[in-house]
Amino acid sequence: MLVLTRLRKQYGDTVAVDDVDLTITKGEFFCLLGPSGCGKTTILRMVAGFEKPTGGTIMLGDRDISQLPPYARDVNTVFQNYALFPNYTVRGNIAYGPTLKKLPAGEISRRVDEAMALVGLEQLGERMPSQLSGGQQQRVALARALVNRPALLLLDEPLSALDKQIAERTRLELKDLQRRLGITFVFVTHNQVEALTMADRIAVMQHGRIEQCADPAAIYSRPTTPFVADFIGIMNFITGTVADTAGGVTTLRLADGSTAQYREGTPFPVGSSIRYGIRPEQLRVSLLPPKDFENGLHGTIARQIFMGESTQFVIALTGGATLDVSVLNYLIIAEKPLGFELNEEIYLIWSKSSGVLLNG
Amino acid sequence: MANAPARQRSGAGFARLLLFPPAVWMTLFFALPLGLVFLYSIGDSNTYGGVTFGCTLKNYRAIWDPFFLNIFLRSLLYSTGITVLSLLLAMPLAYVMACAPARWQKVMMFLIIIPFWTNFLVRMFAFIVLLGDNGLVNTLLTRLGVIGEPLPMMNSLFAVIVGFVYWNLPYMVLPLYAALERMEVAHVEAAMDLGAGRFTAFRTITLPASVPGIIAGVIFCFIPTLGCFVIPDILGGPDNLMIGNIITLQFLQARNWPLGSAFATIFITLVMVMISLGIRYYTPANEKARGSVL
Repeated sequence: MLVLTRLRKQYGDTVAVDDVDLTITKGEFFCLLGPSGCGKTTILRMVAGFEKPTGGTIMLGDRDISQLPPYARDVNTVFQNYALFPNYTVRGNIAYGPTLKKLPAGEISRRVDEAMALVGLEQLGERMPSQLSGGQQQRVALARALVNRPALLLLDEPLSALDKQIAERTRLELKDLQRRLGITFVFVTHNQVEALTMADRIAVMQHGRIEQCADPAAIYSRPTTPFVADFIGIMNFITGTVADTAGGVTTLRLADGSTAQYREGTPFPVGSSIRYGIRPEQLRVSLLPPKDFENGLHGTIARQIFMGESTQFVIALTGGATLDVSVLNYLIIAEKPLGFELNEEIYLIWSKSSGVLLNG
Repeated sequence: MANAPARQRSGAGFARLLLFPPAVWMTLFFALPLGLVFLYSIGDSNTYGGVTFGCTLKNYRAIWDPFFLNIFLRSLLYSTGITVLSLLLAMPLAYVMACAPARWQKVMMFLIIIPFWTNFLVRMFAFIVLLGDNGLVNTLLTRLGVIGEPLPMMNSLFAVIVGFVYWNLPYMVLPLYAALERMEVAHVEAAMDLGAGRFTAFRTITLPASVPGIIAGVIFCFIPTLGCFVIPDILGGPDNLMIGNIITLQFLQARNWPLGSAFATIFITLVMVMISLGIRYYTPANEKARGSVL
């Protein structure tokens, strides 16, 4: 429904968006995720019509909208700082769009009521924006955009200005709202948790390009580039080289001389240097050696931090590298709550099916 | 911590001390002369141009003289028209300035301030060179064959308007620019996002946001225009006298100080009433909202 083809934006010599191809389907909650300056907001502003692309096309449905002014696009935006009109009441703000469309007064009023009810603002219609809390302002911005029933709703970091608790609650509400309305959402954020919790699909961006575009689970567990692996959550990297790829199992020679196996094929040829990426929660600390379906490394406990629902370990490997491990405290023994002593020698163990192999 | 209140108190004392010199200055050179003007206005002029102090309203009654009343009303009309014209010209300029890249904003600001480098009188006399029968404009138009006879532009309402608008423009542009420059681009983008064209966005969002600037600009233009006597004198000729001119005439030529003082008092009162109304009835939308919360 929204198709970007070789979309490009340059400011002088600086390339903000570098020939991006992207297809977003109808009814999808799509998230553009990346650090500041990665080009995600520029893409959003080009779709909204505030920036003219240097090259490429933006198709909405079967219409090329790349050269249309913002007011001629069936797209509405929720701005980062909401951009509520200070000289209008909440009602006036929400009625702004329908009024410009010259709908009959009764219809405008009905739609505005509907939009206010949708976001739970029924009581606040006559307030001025400056009298509202951040969360309420965010709702007005949402209602003001949704009242126009756009084909596509763009959201530019709408939760970043909110308190942590309100932002967390709003995440769920936004997701519910989107499901209920069936409107396509394109959500821009630098907050990976927002992206993971709300999106149907995420495009992780860096330097004006899309590094990986996939559903949240795949982005988290099967990142395809070191940048994505590092940007989303915490990722431990163990360096090594590919020793053997026979039988669909990849055997790796690790930096400390030991070997590890990865029970999946790999595009990397024998001899190439790789990074084995493993999440902290995929690692396990044990006094017993690994089973034959597991990999294991020798190490000592350099640090252990009790976090309530989990314990974080920092493990110093014999080679000198340190890895982060997170273990859920499903079994806490009263006398020895953390289970291990500092500097105790342990095995660091993970399944041969978990983790991901990345270019070294 | 214990001496914090004491320090605060001495700080307040110091602030009061800072207020003292300007307070003395204003009393000596503003409040006292103003009182004197009022005292003159209820006095009487004697044969030699001196002032006999008294308590009469006859100088005030002279305002009903059709000659003076006519000039008073004309001054109000001219000032209103000139202020509106200045506003109409200044608004697009201020808008372009506020929207320009930062570097260009500085250049344009510089260009607007340049006229302040030259003496006001000199600039006004320069209009004679421009608009006179043998002036630049007429010479150019005649040479080009656009006109056969020089256009009589000097000593006319036209010249007065040109002079005043020229003089007012920076005073109007600067507050407008200050108001527009604070405008959030996101608000205009939001309006356009919701279906407004450029003009609608300006009318519904930008213009209301710039009302404080408009009010400041109107005050800065209307009041000096109403009181100015130099421009009508140099450019307007005898048919375009304004309040300022008749007050000056009373003091310098007719030597009727009480009458001049009465007119001056009426003028000052009028101005003060207008400024007070402006302040009384205008509170920005945000302030209003904040006020109703409290």
